[in-house]
Amino acid sequence: MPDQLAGLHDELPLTPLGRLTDASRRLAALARELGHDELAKTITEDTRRRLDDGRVRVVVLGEIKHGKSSLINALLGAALLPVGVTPTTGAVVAIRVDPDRQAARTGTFMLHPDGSRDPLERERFDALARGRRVPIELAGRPIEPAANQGQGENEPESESEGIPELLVDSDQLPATIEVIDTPGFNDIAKFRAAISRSELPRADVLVLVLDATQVLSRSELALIRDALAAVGGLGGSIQDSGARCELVINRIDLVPEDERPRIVAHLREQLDGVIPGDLEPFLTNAKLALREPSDPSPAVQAVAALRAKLFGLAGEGKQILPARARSAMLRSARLLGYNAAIQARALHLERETIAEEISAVEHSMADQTRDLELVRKQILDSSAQIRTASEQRQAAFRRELEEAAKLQISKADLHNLTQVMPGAIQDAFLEFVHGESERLRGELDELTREVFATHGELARRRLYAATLPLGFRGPGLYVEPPAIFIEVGMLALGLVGTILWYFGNAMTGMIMTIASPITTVILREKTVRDARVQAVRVLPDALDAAAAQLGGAVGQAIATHGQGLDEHLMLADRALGDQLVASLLGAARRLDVHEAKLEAIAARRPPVIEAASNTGEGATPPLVSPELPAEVATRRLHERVAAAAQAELGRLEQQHGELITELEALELAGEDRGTDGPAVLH
Amino acid sequence: MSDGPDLSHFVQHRQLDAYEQGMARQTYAYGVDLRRSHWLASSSLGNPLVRAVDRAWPTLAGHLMPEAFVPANQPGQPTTELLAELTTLMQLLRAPLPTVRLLRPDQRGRWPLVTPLGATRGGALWLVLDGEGLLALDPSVRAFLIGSGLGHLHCDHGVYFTAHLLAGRREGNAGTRMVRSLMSPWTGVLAFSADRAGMLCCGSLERAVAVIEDPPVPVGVGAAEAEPSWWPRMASTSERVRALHEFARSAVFARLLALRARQREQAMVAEAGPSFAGPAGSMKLDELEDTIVDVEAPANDRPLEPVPNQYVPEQAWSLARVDARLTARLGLL
Repeated sequence: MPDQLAGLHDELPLTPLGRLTDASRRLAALARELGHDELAKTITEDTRRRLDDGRVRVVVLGEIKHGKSSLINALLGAALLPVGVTPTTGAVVAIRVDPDRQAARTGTFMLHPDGSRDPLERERFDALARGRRVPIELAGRPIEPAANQGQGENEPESESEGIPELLVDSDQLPATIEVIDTPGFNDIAKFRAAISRSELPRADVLVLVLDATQVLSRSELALIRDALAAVGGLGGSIQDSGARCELVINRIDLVPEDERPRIVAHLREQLDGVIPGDLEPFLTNAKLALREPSDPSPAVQAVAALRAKLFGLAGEGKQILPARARSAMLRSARLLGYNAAIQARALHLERETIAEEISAVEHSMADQTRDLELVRKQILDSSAQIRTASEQRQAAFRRELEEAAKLQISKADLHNLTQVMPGAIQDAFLEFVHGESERLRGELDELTREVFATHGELARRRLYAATLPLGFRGPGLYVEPPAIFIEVGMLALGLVGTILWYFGNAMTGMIMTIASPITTVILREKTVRDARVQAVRVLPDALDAAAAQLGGAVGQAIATHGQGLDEHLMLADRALGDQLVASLLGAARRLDVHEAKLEAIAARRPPVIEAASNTGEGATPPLVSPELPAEVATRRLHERVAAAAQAELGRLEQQHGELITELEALELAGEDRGTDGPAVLH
Repeated sequence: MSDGPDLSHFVQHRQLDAYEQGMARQTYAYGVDLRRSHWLASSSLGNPLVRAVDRAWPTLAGHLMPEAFVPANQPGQPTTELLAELTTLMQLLRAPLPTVRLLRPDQRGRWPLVTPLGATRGGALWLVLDGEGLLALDPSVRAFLIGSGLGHLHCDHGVYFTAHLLAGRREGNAGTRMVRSLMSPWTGVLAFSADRAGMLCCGSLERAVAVIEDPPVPVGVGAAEAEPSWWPRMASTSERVRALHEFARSAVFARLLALRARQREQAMVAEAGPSFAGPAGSMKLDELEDTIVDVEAPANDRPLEPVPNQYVPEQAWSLARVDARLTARLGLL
């Protein structure tokens, strides 16, 4: 596999689209190497849909009973999706034109994860779309539909289920647009299930449907933020994710006309900073638009305008989809990075410990009924506690170091004061930094374990990156050498004394010989006292600066860790447990493979080992010395297996990092990044 | 009694470190250069003179920070990789810990890619890096430049660079200008030690010679040459290249090559798991994989191929011999 990856890398196509396709192949290969086949499949399928098929995915979101399905029906011009008084959509429903243009099928189908479709009776389609548990059977084989799996509101649903699909005529929907209807935001379990199937991250256009009578509840606002984060943000960020967002205020007929501007103003105010640019919501009446599509009322015309805008995207795939593909790949790459870090840390563990962690993850994820918001709050609270405790330790150390330094300064000679003390204070500070970093690592790992039931290398890496520069910040304390006149004075006294001793009269020479050392001692003592005063004076500022930098670095590391946990939760969501287990299993498998490799090498090495014992230094050492006690030999072998496995994973992580850099730097058509040119000339 | 940090312990360690670092530089640096630096830094005549630079240092540092440099821990600086590499090279040379300063974007091109600055005898050691420029370089070229900068600091050359910088700035006074003119005997030999340190770090004579003959020029506002006008005048390129060729025959360099060969050999039996694929001899991860695959291929059921340069050759020159030839060629006492 490494050779395949390397080979792919060597054949970099020149066009941005070709490079995106190539990056997706390499990313999928990396995902498989790391044991995440599902993710690899998603990456491949999404890239194919966006770059090969050129299909734009429009995902319709909103709370229960805000008229999402009604709006889709109005857009399609026919009552194809079930609507009713009770909450309706309970599962993700896909509406598209048959991708097989020759077959050009229409009607209701069950789309299986392997891409195959089976016809579905209308009643069963409606039942599935409503999220009801109905046993169905198709073509002689039982089908466990999406909504059949849940045992309760929070029951995780399997990734391997099918999706109810509605195939429509190409005159109802452009062939390069597919519309996804989703369960209501506040139907949390089902909405999460939608996220777990990666419907949200796979969206290219979000249509947020709000209700005119209750515009933008707090839960709506929070989930809009999540949905936007899932698609990689909208413009305004460093890199345009290509995603589009349209706001619809449905059931506008229930609000008097004079109140409508106030609703729009309220919406703009609430979403300021969440959605960049000028918000121009569509004020619609979807039910009327379906019944009377030619009605001249603004609410019906708004539906027509929305249709024109959405269906108009069919011709803009080339502008939207490459950026979407890149954004989705970066998202997957970030998720892979988190999982690789978990695997990297697991490579240090014994097999039994890995098995225990797998069991813990399975147990934890099976029981996890907590709300995402609660987990986020837990992360924030714990991070704040860790930070406060660290700040207290830092403040205490800062005081102790100042006291200790003043004590040393009061005893130090000139050389120690100017040359050694600044460095010694820096060393003491750095030792505290290392100790503090280790304490924080333990605390952050523990926090990660509370959330995921396992943890990765990320706390260590983040603290390493944050505290490494502190070592190179310098002592901060600089004690100036004695003034030049003192040095020259001492030098001159000695010189004059010596000259007079040899060439002057004996008495003067004797006086000078006695006076010179005394004067020198007095001057030196004054110099040392001055230097001590100066050192004590500059010490507090130097320590304050060092403490401030440490506090900043620690705070940054803790905040980054918390954000990382939050991002990992969002990226993986309900597939989290499976992915964590896959990472741990991947580590165990990698260790097995390398142990087998080492044993194979050892089996072929007896002659070399004999040669080593005969010739001493000249021969290659054995894998594990036969003279070692069994326990030590086992530990050594384990260390070597782990080292080899870590080296292999390190190579994969290096490729992963390069791929992310490459994707971030990739210039797509129409992008003007203002290249800086070369950094160095030869 | 305070239960805070025991500073006397750190003072003792600092003194021991300084001793070890002094021993370490003697294993590669040019002896004449070390003796001259030592005399200037510690003699009763030379030291008061060179301390003029020490006295000007706080003011200079105070001016340089806001106008040209930023600390290495400034947020947004992509320095982790660079600092990790610097740490590895520092450990390789057993060089002292420098204070790293990075160039502000508007200063790029006005300074060399690596500038060692400092006061006498380790009171302040600054390594000024053009982070972006260095990261754009080939790893071995980067290793040479950083290694040579570390070598300058290791051999107490920082004060010479500071004296020259001061002489070209408003902080410079008659004293520093006099120091500058008096320093030519020192600056004439300081490049040899630093070149050796750079070559040890990059591990390749060819690459080291290539960098000396065609040094990378930083791109920026004032970029024109690899070195600014205030830079000390050093030995000629041909002399430096010749000196490096001789050093490449020394047991010191052969020992480094042997160390790397041993690392490669260890990697072949999957004993090494390098976490940092640095240029200073660490095994590249893809090479490691290739060797493992190669060893395990059933068709290759043969004894491991001996790795070249695995041992220090008997005919390797001693450092004294290398130094003596250079001294004789330079016509020094």
